[in-house]
Amino acid sequence: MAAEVPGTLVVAQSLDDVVSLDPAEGFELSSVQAFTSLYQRLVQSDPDRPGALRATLASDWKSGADGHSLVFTLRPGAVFSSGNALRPEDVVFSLQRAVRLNRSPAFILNELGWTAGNVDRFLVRIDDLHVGIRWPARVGSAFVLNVLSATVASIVDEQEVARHLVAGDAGNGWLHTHSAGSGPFRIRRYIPHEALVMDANPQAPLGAPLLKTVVIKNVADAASRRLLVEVGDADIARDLGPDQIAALRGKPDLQVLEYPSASLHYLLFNTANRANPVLGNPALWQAARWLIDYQGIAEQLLKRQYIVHQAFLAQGFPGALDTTPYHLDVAKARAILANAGIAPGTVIKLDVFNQPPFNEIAQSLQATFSQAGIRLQILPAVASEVYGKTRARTEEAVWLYWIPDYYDAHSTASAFAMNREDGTQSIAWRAGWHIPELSALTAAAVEEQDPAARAHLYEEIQTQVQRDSPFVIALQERAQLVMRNHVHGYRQGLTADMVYYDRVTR
Amino acid sequence: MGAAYGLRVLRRACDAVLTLVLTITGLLAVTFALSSLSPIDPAIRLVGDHASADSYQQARRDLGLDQSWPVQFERYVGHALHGDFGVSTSTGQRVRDDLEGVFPATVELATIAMLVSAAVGLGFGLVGAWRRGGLIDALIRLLSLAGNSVPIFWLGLLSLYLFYAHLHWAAGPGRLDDAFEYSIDRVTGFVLIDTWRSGVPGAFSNAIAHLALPVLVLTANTIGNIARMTRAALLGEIAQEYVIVARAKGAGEARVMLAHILPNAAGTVLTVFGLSYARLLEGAVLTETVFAWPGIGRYLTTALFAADTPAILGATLVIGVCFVVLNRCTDLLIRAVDPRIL
Amino acid sequence: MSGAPRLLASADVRIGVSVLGMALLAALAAPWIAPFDPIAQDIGHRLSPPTLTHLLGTDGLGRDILSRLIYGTRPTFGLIALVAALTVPIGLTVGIVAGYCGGWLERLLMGITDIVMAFPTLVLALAFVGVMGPGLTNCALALALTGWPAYARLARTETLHMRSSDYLAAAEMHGIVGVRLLWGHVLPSCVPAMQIRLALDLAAIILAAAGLGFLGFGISPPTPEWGAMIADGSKVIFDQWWVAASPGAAILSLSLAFNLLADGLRDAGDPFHG
Repeated sequence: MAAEVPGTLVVAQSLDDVVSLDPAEGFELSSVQAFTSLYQRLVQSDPDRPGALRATLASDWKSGADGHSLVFTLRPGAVFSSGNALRPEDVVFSLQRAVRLNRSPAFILNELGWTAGNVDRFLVRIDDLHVGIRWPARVGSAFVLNVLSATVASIVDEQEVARHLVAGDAGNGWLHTHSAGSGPFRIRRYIPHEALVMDANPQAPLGAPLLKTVVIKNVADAASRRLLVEVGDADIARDLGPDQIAALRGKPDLQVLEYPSASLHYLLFNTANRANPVLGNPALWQAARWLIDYQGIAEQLLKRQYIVHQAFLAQGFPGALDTTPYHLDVAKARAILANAGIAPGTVIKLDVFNQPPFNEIAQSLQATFSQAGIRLQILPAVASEVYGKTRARTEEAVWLYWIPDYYDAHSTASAFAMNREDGTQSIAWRAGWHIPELSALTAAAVEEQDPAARAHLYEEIQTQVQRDSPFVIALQERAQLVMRNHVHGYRQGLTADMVYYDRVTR
Repeated sequence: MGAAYGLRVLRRACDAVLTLVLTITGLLAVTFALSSLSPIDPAIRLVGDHASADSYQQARRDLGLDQSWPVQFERYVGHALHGDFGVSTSTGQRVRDDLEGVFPATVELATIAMLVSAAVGLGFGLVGAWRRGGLIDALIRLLSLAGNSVPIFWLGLLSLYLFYAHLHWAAGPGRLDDAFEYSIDRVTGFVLIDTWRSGVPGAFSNAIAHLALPVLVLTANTIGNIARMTRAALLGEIAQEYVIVARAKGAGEARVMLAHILPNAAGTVLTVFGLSYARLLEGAVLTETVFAWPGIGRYLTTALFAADTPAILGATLVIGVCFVVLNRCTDLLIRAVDPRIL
Repeated sequence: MSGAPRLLASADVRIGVSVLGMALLAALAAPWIAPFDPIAQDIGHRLSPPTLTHLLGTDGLGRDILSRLIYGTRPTFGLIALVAALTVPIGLTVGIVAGYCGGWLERLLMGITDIVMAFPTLVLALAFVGVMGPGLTNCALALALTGWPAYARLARTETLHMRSSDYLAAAEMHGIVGVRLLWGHVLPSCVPAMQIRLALDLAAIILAAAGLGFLGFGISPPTPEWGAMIADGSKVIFDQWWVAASPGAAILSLSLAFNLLADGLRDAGDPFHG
């Protein structure tokens, strides 16, 4: 057993997806996870009350009369890990650089109508403690607050970054591998594809963490991760396969924790694909809803790592539709196909990621679809390749997963229920689904100020998508991780960034 | 006589350098072509699938993907000649810094595995040739053949399970325990040297404990060839005249073997050593994955999946140069040791 | 003793050939020998240990492992046949032409051979399959791309030996020149070394293909392929070890058989060679 260092938590997971630890650039699962520990935003999701926002670097805010502005009062006495005090200039700097750098997560801030050309007009330092934020887009302030709780809106220590600037990069080069935030931890060392070592930041606003160090080790292979946590060389292991977790349940030193996750799995048919015209036939989409072995996949194949969920807002999300009207019914599917004149023996190419659990799910689909006479040809490929195909709209059918980009219903609704036909590559666009009325409804929903009315609109939108779309939403992930018994105080939320180490002790 | 000889040596040296340059250029060109043809879009890998079209285009421009291939290649070679291998899209660091980090890890692993394989393989080959046809010979041959025929990732996982999880004889994945990993200064990049120099108690033995399993797995795979070739070479020599003469003169078996046969078989043996070392250096990709060893093989695989062209080219360059240089050195060594070859 | 009798006297060759023969038989007679349909799923009985019905247990989707193992011999043999059919002719042709013609052609061809030899095999195969997509033909092409230089080298060595010997001179005096000479006289002398090399290579190719399958670049599911089966099994190796154990053992046996064959051929042939 490896030597233990007191006050240090070791987490075994895969870090291979990380592109950068600059919050204006990093948008991968492992990166956004780290940002919650390293940086803070004006407002953040409350870890103890899902769906509610907690004032973090802002202590209060007021809506403007026009409905297009907010004034934030900064938390007095808040300092960064460097010791520099939090100033409105830091807020302005952080949000402006995120928009101007225009990296992956910038589109979230673009939703407010901010562009590299105009963003400085909309961020104003009012006085030492107040900062004003305005936005031109037709969206409500509830939406804006949710956007500002996304990791791209992390507040960065401008003065610290200024010491490491390189000609016009706004600190991006240095922030790749270093942190300048106010979160409960700061980066001691980051070695790409190897490990992220974080030290406690005792001056963190909202309190210092209970641990001294967190080491996130890159262990690419799930079997090795399982070994590490079983033997005790790691305290937490993430992303283990369902069979591995089933095997580790009941071991004396280990506990299996389950958290609802906002990750959804769905099947997509590209109706715009001319090469295979059957894809454009709504009867196919209808039949497909009855040809997935939802229960079998969720319960037996993936050993309860997933639950059956058939609407685009994940369970636990405000406004989520929890009805699951569909189940495996081959006879019904066959009747639908026969009525529509879709002959048995139709071949459809299915693209999937060549990693678990996608290949298993694909093979289960292959078996059930074949019972209704549809032959699925499975084409496993690397993730970026599959995404590339959907962007070019050359796919026939794809099995994908969706994680909301920020904690607001619009993130997912604008993907599944909006096709602006202007080149914006939403999911609906990638499926070639033409929905002018539904898109208008979705646009109205994000503008709605009244929360109850908003929730009602999203229910309506979800119902339509569930019934008529070329997507079959099937599963929702239940995030499972294995933890050694001496670890306490761990919290995790619905979205990828909501991983909290600040209350952990071992 | 001296001048003609000198001219020949010079000519051979020029030949060698020319071959080296041509090989490297060819390797780079092919790798560049494959990498550019890859359907994996490095820009998507970088900005992710949800980014705006604008961010995506900007990423393409930053990566130089909007230029034609010959221009891209030319730019790359030009920079490389100045020691600038570009910036990796998957780590965000300079490729040169990345390589400086990962290359020593593989070299260390391969070298130790090579030394152990050479010693054991040579021993097996000697014993096998000596006791030819006997039970020991058959056993040794079967063992080394089996080691050569087993899928290395399978062996790696099994040995991790047995020696680490069950018996706790060896340490787990990675080069060092976390207790030491982040407190040792990486001066040379060779974990054995760095832990020794650091003086931290327990660090050096921990490094050895972590090296044990990957070396074991790699050795099992390499012994086969070495033992087999050594045995064959020795058997080839045994039948020669000078052995009969030496025996007739009354020399003992051991003396005959070590003082007469081995030096003459050295040519073949050294070739196998060279080839095996080169293969080990090729990255032991699968071994590095199973043991989370941060070496160049894993670096290259990660880069391939991310279509990270600068990293792919940089790593291939390093591996290719090693290959060629090793082959050349082996050739030279053979000439030096075996007087019959000119 | 000469030729076949001497070969068969070697225990290595006998063992190697019998194992290969059994595997080939399994490949040909698979539909009749295999107890179950290799792609039939039975999710209710997934990951069950070896029993009398399922002699080697079932995998993650409830498919019978023994049947998948038997059917898995087909892509394996298909792959190695394809690779052999590609590398040997190309390699021998390049080597013989280089050795016979000499001069700048030889330097050019051998230069290309050296360059390709300098390529790291698995890595280039990965890159190639990454570009062309997964599948049996692409796997074979990828492995063949870097496999032919060895044959070119040995063919050239043989050709050079023959050039300086009287054998060729005698044939030339009889008026046999050009392609006839190369085909009828030079080529046969390459065969012994080529056989050994091929047997060795095939052993390595089986492992390389398993490696590619393990990394996800093999044949599309649900066709059973041993490398992919190990990948599936490696996820559950510590609890349901049999899922990865049998394909691993199968790969080991086949590769071992080729190695034994190579050894036997080498021992039976001229021990001074190669």
